[in-house]
Amino acid sequence: MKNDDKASLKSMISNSPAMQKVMIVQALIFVLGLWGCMAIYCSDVLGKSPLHYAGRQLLWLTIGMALMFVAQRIPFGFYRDNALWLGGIAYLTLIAVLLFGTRINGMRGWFSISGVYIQPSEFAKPLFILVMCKIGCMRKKSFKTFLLLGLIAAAWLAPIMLQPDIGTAIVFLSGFIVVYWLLGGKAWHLLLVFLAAIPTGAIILWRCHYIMDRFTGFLNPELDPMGNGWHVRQFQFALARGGMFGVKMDKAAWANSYLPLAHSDSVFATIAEVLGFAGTIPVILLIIGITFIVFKISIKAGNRFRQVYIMGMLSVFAIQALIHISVNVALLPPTGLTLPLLSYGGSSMLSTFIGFGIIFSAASFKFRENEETYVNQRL
Amino acid sequence: MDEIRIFKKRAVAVLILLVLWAAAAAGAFLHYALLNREKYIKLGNKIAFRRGTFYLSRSKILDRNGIVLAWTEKYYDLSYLDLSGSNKRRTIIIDYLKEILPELLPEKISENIWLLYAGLPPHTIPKLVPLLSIYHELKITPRHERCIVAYPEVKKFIGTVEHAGGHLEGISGIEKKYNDILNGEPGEYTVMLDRHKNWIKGSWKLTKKAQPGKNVKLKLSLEDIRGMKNEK
Repeated sequence: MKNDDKASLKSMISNSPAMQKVMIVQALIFVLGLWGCMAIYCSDVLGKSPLHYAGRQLLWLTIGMALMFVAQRIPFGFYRDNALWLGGIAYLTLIAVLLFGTRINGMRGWFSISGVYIQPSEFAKPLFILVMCKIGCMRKKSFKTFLLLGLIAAAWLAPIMLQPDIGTAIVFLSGFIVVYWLLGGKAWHLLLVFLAAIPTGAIILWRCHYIMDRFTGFLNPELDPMGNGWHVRQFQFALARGGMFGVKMDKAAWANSYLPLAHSDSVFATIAEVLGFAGTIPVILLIIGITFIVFKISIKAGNRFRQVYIMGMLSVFAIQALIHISVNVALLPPTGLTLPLLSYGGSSMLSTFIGFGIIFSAASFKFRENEETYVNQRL
Repeated sequence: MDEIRIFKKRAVAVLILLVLWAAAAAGAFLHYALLNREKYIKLGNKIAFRRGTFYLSRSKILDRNGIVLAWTEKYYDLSYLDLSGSNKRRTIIIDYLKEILPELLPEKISENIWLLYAGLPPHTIPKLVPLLSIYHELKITPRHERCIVAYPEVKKFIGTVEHAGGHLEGISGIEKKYNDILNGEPGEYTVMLDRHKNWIKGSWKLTKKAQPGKNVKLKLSLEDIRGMKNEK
């Protein structure tokens, strides 16, 4: 191809509506990432080194952006063709972390490598959705396909529940439900999932007392305000203190002293205390904005596999974000889930960027098709 | 084509569900941040803030010639509040503390409180402070001790004091007679407490300055006081 042709092609690709949408989403997720760095700084502003976590998060944000561009450059065909291999590797890491992982806050969910903690369940999310899409698209719509997908999802959920990381398990389960729904699965199949979830949930509540305590604390925090109701209470107080426009950064007492893991599990409440309602609602609007634009991208993605992957991965991102926000506004009991792109944590940040990179790779079908047409015309 | 239509319809349903969920979360946020803000701020402050009073160190009692007969010394004690009732945890913490305080000798002073060390050496306090936020069972508490010259007759004449709400109060003798002068006016403060009732660093605020007490100079000399017994 001549240099002129390359330049015209590049210009055509960057000016295509799909690419413009991709670039808008990239800008929005970068803004969310920066917002997160600010929130993390606020969560430790009264501590000895407030830049400790915020500085690291900025580093993860930079690396994440780079990884997103790399994942975007890899043709989606590679992900599609190697979905089972990639998924298999991710699944093995979930098993391995149970055997060789490090326990933090009562959860065996991290590999510790030279002081760096890697959470494999975070990296498994985009690959789990890829596996679900691959198998779902390969087979006909039938009850057998539902059973197969359900069994695979259960196999992925099991090691996560054993860590135990119930919050992440809920996100994986939601991913399975959304993907199966988007693949055109029957509604009554999904009803079976909900029916199966009732006894499973009851067993979990019976076996894991801490989850039961969280539930009772959530339902009636006044009953035990210094014990089970403590976290829910602190979320409510942090939101109230923030009010409309927030408190001064150096007065963010709740974020610095009371909120549990203010830089990760409670980052939304931290932002609410510092920036108030006016400064926090944009976070929700940005997440909805990203969801809406990526939804538009998915509609134009070309084929079913790409569409379902884009929408499935997007739903996992949005559901996790909404669970985190709901916990922080005392609408759901505490789950320990991070807010993607905003909460502190390299694994969460990098896996979210990789997930978006694969979404953008899937979205690039249209302009690669244009690229082929264009090249053929020129030749 | 049919599949694309189904996908679009179902994706829109997912999208609507997510938007409704986000709206519900925004509504709950609005409830706490604006609509019922005052109620939750009051509740939060009730749990977090504590008011307290404090006195400056009790002043001295001097004899006619300016010899100090009674004075106050401040000590810091390390104690262990048994929250979990676990002997294993207590042993682990005590073993760890022995690296800083080798002569640690725990003494049970009530059902769940152990006095680990009375009168901490000043150089050990900065090493112990970081441990307080890790092991919530540990407390460093200040203690004022009234000292009187080592003559029994003078001790009897000066009288005794007792601890009352973090300060000393005269209960007999000269200590009682001049109690208000020696104590001065109490100061007031507010402080934020964490879940384990520990003070949150940097949250202590002075709301009223304490006025120091005045030294009391007696008309009698040390010898006069000692001689009072002999005269009797």
